[in-house]
Amino acid sequence: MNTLNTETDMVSITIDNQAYRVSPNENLLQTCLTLGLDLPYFCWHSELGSVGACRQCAVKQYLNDEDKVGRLVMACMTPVCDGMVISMQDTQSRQFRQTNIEAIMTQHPHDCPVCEEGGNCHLQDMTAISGHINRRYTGKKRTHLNQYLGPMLNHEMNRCIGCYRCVRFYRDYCGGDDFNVFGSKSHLYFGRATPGALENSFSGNLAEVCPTGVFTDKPFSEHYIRKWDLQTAPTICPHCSLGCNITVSERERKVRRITNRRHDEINGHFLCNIGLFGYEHVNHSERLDAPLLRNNADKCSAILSTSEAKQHLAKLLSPAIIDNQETALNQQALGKCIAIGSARTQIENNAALMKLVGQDNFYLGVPDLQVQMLHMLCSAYQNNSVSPFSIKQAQACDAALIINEDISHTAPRLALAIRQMSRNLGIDNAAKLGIADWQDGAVRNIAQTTRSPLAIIASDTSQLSSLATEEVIISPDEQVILLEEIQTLLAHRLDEAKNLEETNSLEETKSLDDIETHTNTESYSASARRIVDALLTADAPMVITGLQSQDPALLGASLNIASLLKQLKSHAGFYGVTKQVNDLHFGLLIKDEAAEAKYLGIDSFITRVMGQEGEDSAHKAPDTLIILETDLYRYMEAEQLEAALDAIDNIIVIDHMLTPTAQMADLILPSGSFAESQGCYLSSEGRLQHGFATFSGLNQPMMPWFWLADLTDLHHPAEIHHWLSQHFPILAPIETFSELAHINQGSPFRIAGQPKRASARTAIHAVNDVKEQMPISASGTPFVQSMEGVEGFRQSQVQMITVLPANAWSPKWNSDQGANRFGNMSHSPWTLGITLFSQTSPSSQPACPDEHQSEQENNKNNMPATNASRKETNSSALTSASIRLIPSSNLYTDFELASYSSSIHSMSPEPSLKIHPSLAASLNLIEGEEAQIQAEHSDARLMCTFNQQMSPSVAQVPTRLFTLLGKRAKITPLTLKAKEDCDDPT
Amino acid sequence: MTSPLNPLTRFITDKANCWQLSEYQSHGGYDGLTRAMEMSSDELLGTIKQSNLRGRGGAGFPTGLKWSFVPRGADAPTEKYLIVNADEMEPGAFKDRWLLEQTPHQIIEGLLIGGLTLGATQGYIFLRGDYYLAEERLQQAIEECKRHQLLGRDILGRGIQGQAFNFDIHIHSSAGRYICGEETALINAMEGKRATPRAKPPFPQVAGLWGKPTIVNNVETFCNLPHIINFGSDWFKALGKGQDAGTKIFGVSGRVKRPGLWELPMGTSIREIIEHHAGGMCDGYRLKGFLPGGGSTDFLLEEHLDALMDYDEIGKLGSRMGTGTIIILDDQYCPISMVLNLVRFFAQESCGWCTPCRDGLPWAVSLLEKIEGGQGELKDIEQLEELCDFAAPGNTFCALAPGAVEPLQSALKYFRQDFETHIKHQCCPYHDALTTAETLSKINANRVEGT
Repeated sequence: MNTLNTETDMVSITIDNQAYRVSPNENLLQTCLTLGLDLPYFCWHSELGSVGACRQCAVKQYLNDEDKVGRLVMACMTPVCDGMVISMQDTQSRQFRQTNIEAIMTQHPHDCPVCEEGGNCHLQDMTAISGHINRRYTGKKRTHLNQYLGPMLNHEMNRCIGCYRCVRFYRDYCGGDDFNVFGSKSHLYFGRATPGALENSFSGNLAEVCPTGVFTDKPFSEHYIRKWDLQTAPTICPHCSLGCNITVSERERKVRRITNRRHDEINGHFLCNIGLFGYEHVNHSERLDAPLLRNNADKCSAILSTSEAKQHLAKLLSPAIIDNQETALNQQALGKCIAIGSARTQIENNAALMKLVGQDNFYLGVPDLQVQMLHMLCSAYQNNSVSPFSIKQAQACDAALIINEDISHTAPRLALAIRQMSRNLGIDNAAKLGIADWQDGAVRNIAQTTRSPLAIIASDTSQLSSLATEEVIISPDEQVILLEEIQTLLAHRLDEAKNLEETNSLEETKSLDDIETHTNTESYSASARRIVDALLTADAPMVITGLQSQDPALLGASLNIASLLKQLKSHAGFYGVTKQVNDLHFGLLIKDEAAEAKYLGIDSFITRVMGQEGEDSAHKAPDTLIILETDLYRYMEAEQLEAALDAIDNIIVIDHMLTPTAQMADLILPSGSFAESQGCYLSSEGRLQHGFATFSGLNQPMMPWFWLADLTDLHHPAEIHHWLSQHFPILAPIETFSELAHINQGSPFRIAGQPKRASARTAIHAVNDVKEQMPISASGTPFVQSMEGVEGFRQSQVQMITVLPANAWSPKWNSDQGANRFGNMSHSPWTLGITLFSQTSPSSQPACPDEHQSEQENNKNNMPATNASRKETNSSALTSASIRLIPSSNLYTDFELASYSSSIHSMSPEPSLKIHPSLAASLNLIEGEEAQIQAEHSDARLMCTFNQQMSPSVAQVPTRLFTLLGKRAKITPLTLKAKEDCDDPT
Repeated sequence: MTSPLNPLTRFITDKANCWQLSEYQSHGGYDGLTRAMEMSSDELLGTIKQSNLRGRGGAGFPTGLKWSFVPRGADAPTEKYLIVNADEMEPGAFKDRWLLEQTPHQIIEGLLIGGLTLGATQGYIFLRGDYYLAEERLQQAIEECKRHQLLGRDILGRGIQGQAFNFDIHIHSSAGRYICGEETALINAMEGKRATPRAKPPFPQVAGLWGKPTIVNNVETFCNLPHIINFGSDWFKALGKGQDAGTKIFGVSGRVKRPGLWELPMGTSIREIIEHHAGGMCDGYRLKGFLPGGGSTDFLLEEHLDALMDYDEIGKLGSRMGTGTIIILDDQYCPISMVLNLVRFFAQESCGWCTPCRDGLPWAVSLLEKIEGGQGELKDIEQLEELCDFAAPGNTFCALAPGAVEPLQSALKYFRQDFETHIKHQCCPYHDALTTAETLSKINANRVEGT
């Protein structure tokens, strides 16, 4: 909603006799901060807006140039207007700000030496900026008992300065209800009613939202180090598909903490708990830090040196690669060496591997069905039938329809944006009364429970249910029908619009009655009509869906709805949530030959190895397999997977974790984790972004492409980028990042030759510059050789350095809150990323040209064929009385790498079978007792929990099990008594 | 009925049941309502505006002007709310209690006239939680009204322009915070939220309770409405002796012969109230100073006795008429102790939202305790003065802290000698007089121990 201000929109204000041209849409505090003026504040936050509680940002406002008296105003509560005359430096306002902070500090314990916030503390910065030095208060300080708030945050209430930011963030912004402010007067208490883990997925941000050390990062304090002794680099969050920007901090080759890196189009100021705390795999004991050669006979492994490992690799691969090249020359695609690419590694690594084995021997490390759905998304983006929205655009839209995706768990930051989006109508109502959107308290008082249209179609309620203006809880099969109704209605409206156009242009008299007769609205459910009305009343409606339930029919229908909507509303958008940090680019790596796309995923890999049924002996069995950063056990049932792996002579795994798959390898090559690697990721909105390494790898700073470099003849990321843009023109913009990659070659991020710092920061010049002396001059790079990584925010503003700084550090602003200060970020593609699918001309093509139709056919015909590879253990049992399974997503369980973090693992719920009591009754299932699930591909046992809110015709299993089990299952009770009842043949 | 000189209290008789409907009606109660139902809402608002009625809760904002900000007419929101602020918690004020307990019907009638004026159908009485008797009588009065078609659907069975006039009144008995007297904190409390004041704008007249247009006025303000409508704005204006219109319930507490409440014309002199109505100081006590309008107003001295109780007159003397309930400081009570008691109360009642109030007032309390406890230093006086400036109007989120420091800042001005004596002698010359030697030795002993 914030449009860029052109010069004509700007107004003139005077601050301390200096004239400025500024935007009139902001409050005075934000304006001062954007201008680089040091005005202290506590309760304001650029994302949370103004409430005027702390009174720290008082300035003097004069009526005009003649007025010499003026009056104190709170800058955060004062709108900027033309001709405004302000002083920050006059004695009264300076005195007030000093006394204010002195009053705040009467209750603060001054325990900075033992506080994790020390040196990274907004309160320290503001105290210094305000000029308060002497403490005069001699009375007692109040003391509090602290609470246990879970594995992610420490609580030290005595440090509280009562700014209310935590409670405003947690309750108002994130919708949490297990945290509040208690007490009153100077005995405020910010915490929970009773000690316990904070439930909200964004609780970790409290460490940053709190201006002092009440809430601090608990995992960080377990390996604490002062901020100035951390080395930081900008990169991309390695978990879900949204591509949030993060800053990784490292010391002694251990990741110490992750902080938000502001990207206004994506994560803004906040990260989910997974992003903040899901880094422990980097420091984990199961990290692979050296090449291992497995000796089957002795059941032991030998550690290899890098050169030995390379020799082994060449020895294992060479014959197979030669075979691949020969077969390729003979126009026979299939060679002996096959590979599986990774959805969590950087694009460069997959590209190198694909070049090595050839596209026909390259399998994408997700199930075939997921490959197909990724391809559907990419096709729709490429043919411009839907416009992928950024998270910022999602937050600004005025109506949303969420189809069958629990985004609170699969894409938390998007869910947080939708939470804000639902306030837009209330913000508009406030604007009608002349209240600006940054007046947070006032806007909320006016808006009360007013909600923007948000429709949710799902099989169970979710965290967003309370915000929904229309919620339809039905099974996926019923959803298909509802979505068809919505499509028909939209198609009809489109016809009407077109007819109207024709009527107008051709002056033809096609009576409305004719159209009316077609519109048999009675056949559509009331929900469908209400949803369509809400979407069409909006200016910029959007559709959100995802791959959660692995249902191409639903995805196709959602894409069609988004496409129809885009034809009716040119500003309509779409967000398709994919499943992993870098799986969307799989959809672009598909050989889309005229006839039929081939979805080479893990199912196809199994088929290739085990052979199709009835296939003749001419089948050339692959003998060498390279698995790149993929744990196949997450997707395939173990017995079947191991049968396939056993059929292959040589298995090479490149990964940074000792996954169950890596344990099956003959040769394991370590790769860098996200914190040690640089390269590109494609987020689910189609944004190509580059991440830097924070430090070089443990003992082997090896990117996967580097292991393969001799064999692929791609020795540099730039060469890989070039190869990619030659073979996949849609990915050509990746070459924009080649220069960055060049700069960092050899020593990721930090520049070679830089002296190792021996002590803490030299503070002599800290008032002007937080950098140490430049050690060596380096020309032609965007990086500054500095002890602090790249430059702080302020320098980047002044010098317009095009690379986003590694941190938000600038003179006087030592805390992470420095990121709050500046309105506009750099507009370099190096920092913003590149959106691959431009949102220019609206297209009238349907999202999936008859894809929807063909998906359904696929479901009936093709899919079972491709899935033939999967074991159909229970096919006979499933013919009757089978129940549709749906995944129960959980943030803390579903992300492979994040679950290595103990703080995240401990928040995982017990796996259970969630089922509606009525369905449970018909299946003789008892709450709290185990049930046997016989599904398409596998079996499982789970504890039953009842859920009144969900659809009564489906059963929910944890996402990971859902992937292994398949979509249909027979569910029977396991307990003896219930089983007897059930087995009773009569 | 001839025009009365004591419109608000003429219903309060010796009869045991003067708060009941029959008694109220026998003195002309609900005549105002009957008259109002014959008038258009514009006429009603015009009359209220012309009457120059100013809010009786303490701030003295013109009621007609306040009401004119409420959107009316066809485009206006249909839901609007009227709230009677009966959360009387100002130290020294007990005037609303008298009206609430003795004339509940007068409040109901005022609300009904408000409903007719603004087109509202819901009225709330936000009642101080400790006013049990008032709650009981209000509840009884509401029941009586419902039985007599004075509340509920189609009041009095006579529509206005063919439309039935419906009105309901709900009592909200407060959980008890002084800050709930601040109208936006009161609204937050009614919504079930923390009783912190709201940012203005929007003012409640535009977006108040549940985001809808809302009028919050003091009990006494609402009580004036029936009479203004019944006897006219000219009559009301003529009641006042000075600039301000109408009558006011004044009170006196402290060491006077007859502490109490009296309905007197606006502009009655302070001397008349204290010396005539309250009977003057108790024998053996001299007047040292007084707070003219309750605990959050500046001290005035004997020399100000001839001032008129009028919003602007008292303002010129550097204080406020506030609630019109005078608190007397006599010559034998320690002014520091009195100020400490008041500031401690306000620090206690701070909602904790903004810094000058939440952290500034307890700081002032700690300094006053230090001085009163015989451990003060001269620089403490400077700090107290600085804290008074710190909590000045505009520096804080609402008027609580500026009000809280009013007795303190005026005591520093008028009774500075007392502060200095406390510090010089390291004891309270009033309360420690009998045990000075003992106190001093205790202090000295502590010092030795401490060093």
